[in-house]
Amino acid sequence: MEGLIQTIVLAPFVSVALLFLLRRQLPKSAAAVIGCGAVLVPFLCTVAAFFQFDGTPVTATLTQWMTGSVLNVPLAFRLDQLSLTWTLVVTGIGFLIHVYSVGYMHEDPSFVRFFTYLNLFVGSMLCLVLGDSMVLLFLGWEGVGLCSYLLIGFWFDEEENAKAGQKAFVVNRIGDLGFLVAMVLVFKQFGTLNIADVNAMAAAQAATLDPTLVTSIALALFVGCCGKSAQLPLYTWLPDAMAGPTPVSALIHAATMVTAGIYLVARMSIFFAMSPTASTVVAVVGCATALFAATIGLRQRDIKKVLAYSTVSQLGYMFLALGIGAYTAGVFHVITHAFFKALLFLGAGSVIHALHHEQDAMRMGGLKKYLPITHKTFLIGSLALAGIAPFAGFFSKDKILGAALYSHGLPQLLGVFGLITALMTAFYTFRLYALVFHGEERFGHGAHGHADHGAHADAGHGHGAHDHAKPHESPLTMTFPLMVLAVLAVLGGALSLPHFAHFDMLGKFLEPIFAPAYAVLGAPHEHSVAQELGAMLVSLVLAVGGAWYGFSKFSEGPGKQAEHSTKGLPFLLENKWFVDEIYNVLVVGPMRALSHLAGFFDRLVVDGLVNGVAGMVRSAGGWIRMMQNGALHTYALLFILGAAYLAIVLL
Amino acid sequence: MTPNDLALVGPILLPALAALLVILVDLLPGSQRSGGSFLLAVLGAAVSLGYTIHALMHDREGLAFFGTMKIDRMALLITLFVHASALMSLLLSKVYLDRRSDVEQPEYHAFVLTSAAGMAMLAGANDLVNVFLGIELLSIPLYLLVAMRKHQSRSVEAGFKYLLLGAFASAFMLFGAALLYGSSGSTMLTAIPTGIARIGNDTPLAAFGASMLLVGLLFKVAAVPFHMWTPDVYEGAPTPVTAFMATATKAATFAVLLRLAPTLGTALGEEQAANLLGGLAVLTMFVGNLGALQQLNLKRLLAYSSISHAGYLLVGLAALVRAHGSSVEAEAASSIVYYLGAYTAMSLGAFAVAVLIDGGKDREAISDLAGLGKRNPLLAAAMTVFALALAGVPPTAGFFAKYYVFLSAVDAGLIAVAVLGVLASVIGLYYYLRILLTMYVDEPKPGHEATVSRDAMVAAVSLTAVAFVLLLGIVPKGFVEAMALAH
Repeated sequence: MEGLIQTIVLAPFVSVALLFLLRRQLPKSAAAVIGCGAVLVPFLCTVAAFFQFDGTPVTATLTQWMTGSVLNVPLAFRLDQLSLTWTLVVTGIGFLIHVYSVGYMHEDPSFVRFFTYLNLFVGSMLCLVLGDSMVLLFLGWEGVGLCSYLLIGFWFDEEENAKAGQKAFVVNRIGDLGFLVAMVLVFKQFGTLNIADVNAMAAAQAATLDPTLVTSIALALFVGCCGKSAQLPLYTWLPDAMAGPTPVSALIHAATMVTAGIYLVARMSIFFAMSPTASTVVAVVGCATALFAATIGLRQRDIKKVLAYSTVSQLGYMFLALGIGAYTAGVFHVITHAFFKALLFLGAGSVIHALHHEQDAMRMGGLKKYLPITHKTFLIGSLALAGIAPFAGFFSKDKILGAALYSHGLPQLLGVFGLITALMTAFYTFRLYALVFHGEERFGHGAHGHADHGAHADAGHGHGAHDHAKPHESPLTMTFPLMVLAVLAVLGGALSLPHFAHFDMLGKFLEPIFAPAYAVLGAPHEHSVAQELGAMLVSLVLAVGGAWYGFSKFSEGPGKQAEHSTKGLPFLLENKWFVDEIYNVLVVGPMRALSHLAGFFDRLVVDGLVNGVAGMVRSAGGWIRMMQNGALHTYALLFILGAAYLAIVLL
Repeated sequence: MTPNDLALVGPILLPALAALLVILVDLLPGSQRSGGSFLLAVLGAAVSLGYTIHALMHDREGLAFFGTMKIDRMALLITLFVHASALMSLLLSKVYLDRRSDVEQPEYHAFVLTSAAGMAMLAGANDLVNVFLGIELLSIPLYLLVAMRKHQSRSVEAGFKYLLLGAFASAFMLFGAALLYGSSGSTMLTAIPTGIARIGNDTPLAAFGASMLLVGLLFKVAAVPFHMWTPDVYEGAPTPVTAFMATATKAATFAVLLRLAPTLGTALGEEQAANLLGGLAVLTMFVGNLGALQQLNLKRLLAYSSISHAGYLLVGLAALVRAHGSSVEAEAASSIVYYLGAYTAMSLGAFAVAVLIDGGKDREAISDLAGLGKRNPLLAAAMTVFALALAGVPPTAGFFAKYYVFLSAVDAGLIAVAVLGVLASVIGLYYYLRILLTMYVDEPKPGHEATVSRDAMVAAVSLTAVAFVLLLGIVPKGFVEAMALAH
């Protein structure tokens, strides 16, 4: 078991080293095999570990890393129910997306570099998920952030992409600050950063811990989560992150990295359970994000932007679940979302690939007959995202909404907002589906050189750019992952069926993880069959209604929406409520002014001070050098003076 | 003397024997040109190294020669560093000497081995007499080695300075040893503290003796204010000799200081001894780092760097003395040994690069490194690792070495010393970064392009050093455990 864990963590890093060292020698095929193998091996090991897993967490220590009397950080990885779940998702979906990338990136000159980053990402993500101390978790947290930054700006010769990468980087730093503060608070209180120990101590001291401290820790952690998982008000980087290659959007910005925040809250759920304030904040922020992002999704034209806002919105659902104490439901939605959102992104990638990097849904349409596999799988993904039974998204979303609706007070209200969000989700999902695959063919005339997209807007460079022949289905390396993910998006809901079906594999499996939290919160409510059915019916009606309306309105074409709207709500929505612009005015502008002021201060005061000190240091250096004049008697004299000084001091 | 005694002191005898063989073989007709002495010397150093590793792995530890030699884990580890350093500098000297005709090679090789034998002896010495013997055995060949380029005034002057000041230091040491014997009734290092305690705790005689002995040893490790010789000698000596001196002498002498710690504590009072050593450490760290700031010559820069590292090591020694009898004591001792190992690797590596760029024309200016990043990226990368390690940047060995030493100082209650140490190392960052800037940014002066011979031996030395610097840094725990001393 320990060996398996070590292999899981190390394989991607070994591959990174190999790919980096041999980047010039390796042919693309070999790089592809190594890159995919480095994720397949951990996946197989995780599956093996899953079957060997007997319910007791296993820790594999690679080596002691930092030791000292104050802080001990071993390089140790812990496999328990939660990390096992995440590892399966990361390596499983990660592998599929790697395979897809082989096809998607096959003409890119930086093919090997791409796989190096992708492997580095998987390694960091595994370090985040499996690390047994907060230090390792943070290391992985920063690692995935770095990879995200590198991959968003992968085509860095486009200034737009480089800027998007920077934005993601800066916004995430704000979140990381929260994480760091939480780490310091935890260490100060518990004297260790080992996650299992911290959780155990927190659970044991539940009655005596200072509630303010617990709330501070939980909220500081949540600030970190807001950055990484793109929640209000730090979500703005994620839509921009779509500048990266589409497989990256699928892997990092939909299926895995952005769920790190959910993971962190789930991992430290005891702190949130002990702090009603923090939980309420999580729930409200999650719900608000879900609703807010969904409204923006209604009017987006770019196929990837729609999916990006829907990702932000779905992540909001997950936080809503965690905030109201429906931990298992939150994790369940992470899994199903990973299936169908990866599927949708990869499908979008296939469309973009076929249309020579066209991303504007207004310039698509009628692709159903050209891309049969992409069409069917995209439809399945859309059904799952819209939350239509029996697809995976239905079950997980219903669990969250059910838990919210049948509680009291604020969560109930949040549940209502959740239902409204579900309606909008279904609408924009099928609006997108209809625009892309149905109606008249709107591509091919003047689509190229569209102002919004540079030559690099997405993959397929030099893919016969002037060949306006009919779009054709993507190669097998790309359609195969689509089919696998489609199967998962259909069947994923079976992991945790509604309560009355008495089949809740995931819930049973995760029980030990959330037991301490439920010990504090009290066991989750049991709903009657009628209640469950009622909630399912309501959400299903809303989903089907929204989907039908979205589809029927746009199946003929975009209609009036083909033109940019200039006033009213549509104008606001299309421009994303102008949040970026507001941030620019409120935050970036003052910062810039402040930096000018600081620059002035810097030149006048700090520079002067530093130069003064540097001058002093330098003249001290000169003084020492002057004493070193090579004359032997000076040396001997100093020697004797030194010895005499010692003798005098001591006697 | 029993066979077991001889087996225990094998790491001392083997290099001495090899040195004799080198001289003997040199007398055979025709051996001069065949390079036989070099091969023999390398073989001798390698066998000594192998023997030491073997002894370490099989815990061949114990007292020898009636307890006057104490071959324990610490002695073996330090001997390991010494022999590794000897082997490396022999390999380096091949490149260095082949480009010059003014050095007698067989003698050169024999002296390196003799000196290594003296250092190994010092590492195991448990008696004042053996300490002195070891010091002299390591020093005399070094005086000669420094002056080995006898047609070069710089080299000869350096040798002469080193000899005079070294003799000076020896006198202090002998004086101190005699006083210590007088005040404790024993020359055995392990018996001196009890001897002093028996006669009376607060004897000025013992304090004076201990401090005089300390002066002699501080001279050898280049601690302020007994460091003045260092830049001149390091600069004047043939570069491989400098590499050997900087690393192995420091390691061997610190072995004695480790053994002397209880004596220092008893004779001077633990508090006072710790404060004294801590004060000297701070002084040494600052003088070393400040002195390095304005150096233009790479070897002089490394000499000041070596002084500053003696300062960091003294921080550990101060912690060791202060923490006598507590659990921190072992921590401090291991931190010093770890530091010595790390320093040996990174400093040897840096000097290896210095040998490479010198091109047989004594090009030793830092500016001669200009353009190395373009011309030989691998070598530049190696130098980057060494510079970062010397500066103490994670994840290199240099970082953890400093981390452990400062940590033990904090644990021993010497917080001010640790804080000042961190400050001093920040100054240090500046000149190490200048090396990097020169390599990667500066354009070389015409005619001063870093001419790099692709020499397998130097490459091997640098690569080994890089490997150790990174290994020690990335998985420090394993090495720390290997170096954990049962104190």
